[in-house]
Amino acid sequence: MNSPDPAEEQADAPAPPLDARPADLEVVIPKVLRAGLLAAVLLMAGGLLWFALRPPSAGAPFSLVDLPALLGGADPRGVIGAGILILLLTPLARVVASLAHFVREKDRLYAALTSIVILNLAAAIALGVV
Amino acid sequence: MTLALGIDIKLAVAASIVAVVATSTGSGAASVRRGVANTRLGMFLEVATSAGAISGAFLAIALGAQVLVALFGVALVAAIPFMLRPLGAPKNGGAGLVPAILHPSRLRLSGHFEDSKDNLVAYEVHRPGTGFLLSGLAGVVSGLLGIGGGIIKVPTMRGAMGVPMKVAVGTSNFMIGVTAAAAALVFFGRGAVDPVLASTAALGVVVGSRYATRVVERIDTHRLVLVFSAVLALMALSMFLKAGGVLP
Repeated sequence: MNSPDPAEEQADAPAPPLDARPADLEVVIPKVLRAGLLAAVLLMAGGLLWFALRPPSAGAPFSLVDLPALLGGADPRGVIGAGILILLLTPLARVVASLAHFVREKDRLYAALTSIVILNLAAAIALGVV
Repeated sequence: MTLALGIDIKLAVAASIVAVVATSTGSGAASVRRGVANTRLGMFLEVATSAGAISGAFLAIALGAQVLVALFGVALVAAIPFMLRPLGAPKNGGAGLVPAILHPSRLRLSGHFEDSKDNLVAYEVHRPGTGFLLSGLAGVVSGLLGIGGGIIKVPTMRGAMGVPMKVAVGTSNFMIGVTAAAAALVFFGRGAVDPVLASTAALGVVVGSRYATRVVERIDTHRLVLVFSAVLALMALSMFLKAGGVLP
């Protein structure tokens, strides 16, 4: 498997088809994912710390629609919830970045496929809160 | 989680799926950066996994999951032979039931990855139709049980689609974020996400998964397949025990 001479190995290998791995997407996607994860982790950790120091009545589950009220009321659960929301929207941001790439590349098939994924995620939000 | 902490199954599933989004976001980024995720293949299959995950989440909210857990066990056992002996290229060159627009050449799914230093491996991807359907099933299971669904996605890509093991694992990591987020957003909207439980689980797995992706990168492929098959068998066994009431 491992050739002692890398140059020879390269020459023997078939020309790698680059299609399946759009090079600029491979740079953008990890950046988007890491930024989203970092923001979410900071908010969740900060919110949990606040929650631990000054616990409200209960850590009861709440819905997405309660989030603005909790944040407005300076409730640590609101901060944690905002972190969770950012975490859940990070994959969506990655798909949106991919859609932008496919539109730029005029790749209609993949622009359509990524659009369907975006619609599915939007439907998940809509169907959940209804 | 239900077993260890004795909490309501729906809250456990919701917290678990939020944690899965966190794991996949970290490991997905790492897989893409290391060139072992086939992003195009992932995005194609995500159409099915995200739709499946939404259905799975609603099933979890509506149902007691005992029968479905047993079905999941059956699916895991069925996956083992395909893991150990992939199907290979289809005889008719992939034509047949799949509509022309979803033909492998049209989807441009074939790819390459660096197997070891300076050793590029090119591969073809087969049976996009089958892969698409099984990914939909993986999505349902993911939303229903609050798991990533890699346990079905990896055998699908390796066994039916002919994707090399490392790429199947990397692409699965990449896809799971979208799959799990679709289910998690439904749970969040329905008020099943306990913020303290979910965020604690999410922070915990972020630390653990950073280590796991590094191990997968280093481990010998053949050993990885065997480990994965053993995990399939163990999970199937525990599913049957749960369905039979032996395990809670």
